[in-house]
Order: sequence, then C-alpha cells, then structure tokens
Amino acid sequence: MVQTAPGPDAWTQTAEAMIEEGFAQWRKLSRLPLLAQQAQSVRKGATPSEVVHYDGRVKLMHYLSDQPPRFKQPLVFVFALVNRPYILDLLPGKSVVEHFVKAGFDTYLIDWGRPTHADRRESLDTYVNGYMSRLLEHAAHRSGQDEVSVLGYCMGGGMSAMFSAIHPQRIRNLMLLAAGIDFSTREGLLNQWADADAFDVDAFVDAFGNCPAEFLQWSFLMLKPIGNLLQKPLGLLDRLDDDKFIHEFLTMETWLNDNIPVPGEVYREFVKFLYQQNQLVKGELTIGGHRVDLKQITCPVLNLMAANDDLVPCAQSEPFNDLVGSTDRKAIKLKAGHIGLAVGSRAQRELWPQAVDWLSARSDPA
Amino acid sequence: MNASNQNGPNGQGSGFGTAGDLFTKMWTDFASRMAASGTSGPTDSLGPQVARQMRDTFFANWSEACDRYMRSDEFRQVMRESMAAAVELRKQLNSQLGEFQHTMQGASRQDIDRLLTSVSHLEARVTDTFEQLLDRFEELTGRVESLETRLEDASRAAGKPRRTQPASSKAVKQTTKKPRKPSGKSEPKKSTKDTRKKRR
Repeated sequence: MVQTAPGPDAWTQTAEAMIEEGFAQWRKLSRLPLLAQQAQSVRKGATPSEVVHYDGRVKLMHYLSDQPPRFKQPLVFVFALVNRPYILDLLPGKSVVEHFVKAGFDTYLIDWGRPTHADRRESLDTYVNGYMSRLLEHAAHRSGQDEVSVLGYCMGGGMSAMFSAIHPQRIRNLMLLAAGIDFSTREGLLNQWADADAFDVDAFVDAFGNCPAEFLQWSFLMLKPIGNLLQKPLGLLDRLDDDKFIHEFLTMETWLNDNIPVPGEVYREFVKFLYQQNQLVKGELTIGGHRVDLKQITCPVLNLMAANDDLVPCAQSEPFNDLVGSTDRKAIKLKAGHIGLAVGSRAQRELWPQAVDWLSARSDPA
Repeated sequence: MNASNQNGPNGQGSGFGTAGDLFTKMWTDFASRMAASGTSGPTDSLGPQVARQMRDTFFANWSEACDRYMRSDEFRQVMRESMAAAVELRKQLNSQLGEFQHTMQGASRQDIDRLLTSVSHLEARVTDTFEQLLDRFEELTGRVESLETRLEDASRAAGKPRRTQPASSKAVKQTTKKPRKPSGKSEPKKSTKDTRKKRR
C-alpha cells in the first residue's frame, strides 16, 4: 500500500497535539501522590453486615436489610480460599450480595479468615464436612429451616459442589459461579502449570507449610503478565483525572492484593486430587470417608460461567450440568472475565437479575 | 518439533539451551508480527491517539507471544527447575532457623509443629472415643428400651400394670439434675485485715 507523506500542516498539528498531550499528562501525574492516601480510605464491603457466628477464625456474616425476608430458605455465599470475600460486595451498584438482599433473600456469607501456620493441616474434610457443614447448619437454624441455597464462587464453587454431593438433603438450590469442576482441560495456563510433571505439590507443601499468598498472587499475575504488569498501570496513568475510575480501580486493586495463604493440606489436595488427577469428575474423590458422587446432587442447579475466564476456563465449569443428577439445571455464559462475572457492569445488568429470578422461582415464599 | 528431545537421550538436558532458543524465538516472532501488523497509522493524524493505537497493538502482540511461550514445554521445564530451587532454599532456611532457635535455647517452628501434631492427634483420639461412647450409649439405651417393652408386655400379660418409670427417662432425669449450690467452704473467706477494720 502506498502512503502519502504528511504535509507541513499535519506536522504542525501533530506537534501541537503532542505538546497539549504532554501538559495533560503532567496534570494527571501531579495527582499520583494522592493515590496512596485514597487507597487507604478504601472501604471493604458495601452492604451492612454483622457476624452471627464464629467457628474458630471462620465467620458467618449476615447481611442486614430493612425489609423482612421474602423467602424462607436463606442464601449462603461460599467464597474461595485464596482471596477475601468482599469482591462479592465490592461497591454499591457493583455488588452481587446487594442484588439478593434487595430481592428479599436472607443472605449470609462465609468468611474463611486468614489461616496461620497452625492451620496448615486443615484439609478439604475440615472445610467441607467441618466448617461448611456447621456454618450452613447455623444459617438454616437461624431461619428455622433445614435447607439452604448456596452460591459458590471459584474454589468455593468446587467445595459447594462437594458439599452438595455429600449432604444433598441440606441444599435447596445450588448456584456455581466460575467453579472449576472438570480439570482435564488444557485450555488454562494454570492447568498446564499444575501438571504433575511440572509441579511437585508434595515437596512444595512440605517445605512451605501453607501455600504463601505471594505465590498465589504471582501465579495469577503471570496468567497475563503484559496486561497486569504494563497495560494496567499505563491505563491508570491515562485516566488519573477520572475520579470515579480511580475509586473503582483502587477498590479493585485493594481486593486483588488482599491475598491470603491457603492451608497447605487443602492446597495439596486441590492440586493433586483435582488439577492433577481430576478425581471429582471421575467419581474417585473421597472426603472424610465420604465418596463425592456428583450424581447425588438432585437439587436445582444454576451454573454461571465467564467466556473470557483465564483462571477457570469455561471448559472446566461447563461439564458440571451433565454430571449431576438434577433434572432442573441451567447454565449461563457471560462475555466477561473471572472477576468481571462478579463486579462487571454487564454482569450487574444482565446476569444477576436473571440469577435472582431463577432463585426466587425455586425458593418458598415466607 | 519438541525441542526437549534435542537435549539428550532422556529429553532432560540442562533445559536452558532450548529454553533460551525458544525465548529468543518469542521475541523474533513478536518483532516480525509488529512489523507486519501495521504500525502505520493514518497519515493525516499522527497525534497521541495513533500513539495509543500503536501501543495497544504492541501490547496485544507481546501478550500473545508471551502466552505461547508460557505454554511451551521449555517454559515448564524452567518453571520446574525454579520451583525445585525455591523448595530447596526454603528447606535449608527452615533447617538453619531451627538450629539457630535451638542454639538460642528457644522453641523452633519444628518443635511447635510437633506439639501441634500431638495436640491434634490427641483431639482426634478424644473425639473418636467420645463418639464411640455415644454409639455405645445409644446401643445400650436401645437395649434397655426393648427390655422395658418386653417387661411391660410380660406384666400386662400377667395382669399387673407397671407404674415405674422407664430406665431411659430416669437416666435423662439424672443428667438434667440441677447443680448443687456451692457449699460455704468454697466461698472466699474475708481477709483478716477486713475483720480487723470492722472491729475498730
């Protein structure tokens, strides 16, 4: 293709535009020192809540509402063990919790707390048959019910599926949000890096005890190194004068950097039994003497997935609906990323109203 | 072609030769894609917008090249070697710190770990024993209840109605007995100073 050379006017315009851009950038950069101050005032969680039960360091949070619950069965959010759970209630208007509270669900969330070195022997059994069992029971009893509806996110989704398979009579409805179930896919980088020939998880856990938060943080950053380490900071510089953007950016970054260590034994089991041996799908996973048979899940199932998920590719979540024994099952795939599924504008607009309607239709009115 | 086969008969080798080649290839691929993918913008607007477009193209290509590299066997080999080194370093650190703590007559993390393990084993044993006792208690209660039923049936057949309470409810009553009031002995005694003050 032949291109014509720019004329003298074009060069003058370009030079002027560059000077103007230089000044604009300087004005933006002058706001940079204020960022640290703004970052310190970031609030964690938007909806008012109270702690209603402690089980060691693990807490059961109850979200407060001005209205009495419109449904009998409470809804409990089960979050992953790698980050803090307030991503589900990040900001007003960007909160999954808010959707359900406003719809009249008696809403709870399990906060796993920050495990210490002393907790490194806690296994999937400790979490699924221990903490989850007790906290879900507590939530059910508070509402005078025997069953609860559960929404599990990411690793919490996997654990919710395991719990529902072992204790099917205690779950009314099961919603999974970007949950890894079938680990046979090689689509995601994490699946490849966690292969037995690439990663000796036994040696790692034996040496480190818990899986360090920094290790997890770097693993997630390295999934998209250019995007996370270069494009994101440059994007921030471009929009330093946009207060709304800065507020949302800082809130999100506060959460992204708020990693917690994963108890060593759980990490070992998760990597070895799921990532490396895919035992959940094969029906070979045993937790605390209970075989996890996904066919035992007979409650209504809603499987929510993100089409552009780097962490848990759709191929990892999609097979779940064919593996359960439920007849009432639905899957929704949204064009978003792993975190966008919880906080993205499209998810708030299109996904969560659908999820609320789905759950409302399957819960008893109070 | 799998580059790891070039290293040696077992496909292991040092890993760095081929990994280095692949790393170089990633950059050359990236450069050629950049050259081919039109860093040429519209000629009449060479402003910051074009610069941003060029930047985005640059990052998109770089990101793609990185992703390809990180999925390669060579990268995984480098990752495995780095992880093995990190694990070894951590083990040595744990061992050195433990020795240092012992030299300083302190408790090392290994000592605390051993203690925690004993406590958790003890907890498991106590819980198991307690559960066994509960099972045994339930079994005994069942047997007592069946005996009572048989006894009642027998007495009914003999024409003598039984007025005694079933043993199982007695057992429950005993366990729900009100606690005794604390005796005077356990109450704290007034100090001699207090009594002296009162006398004055």
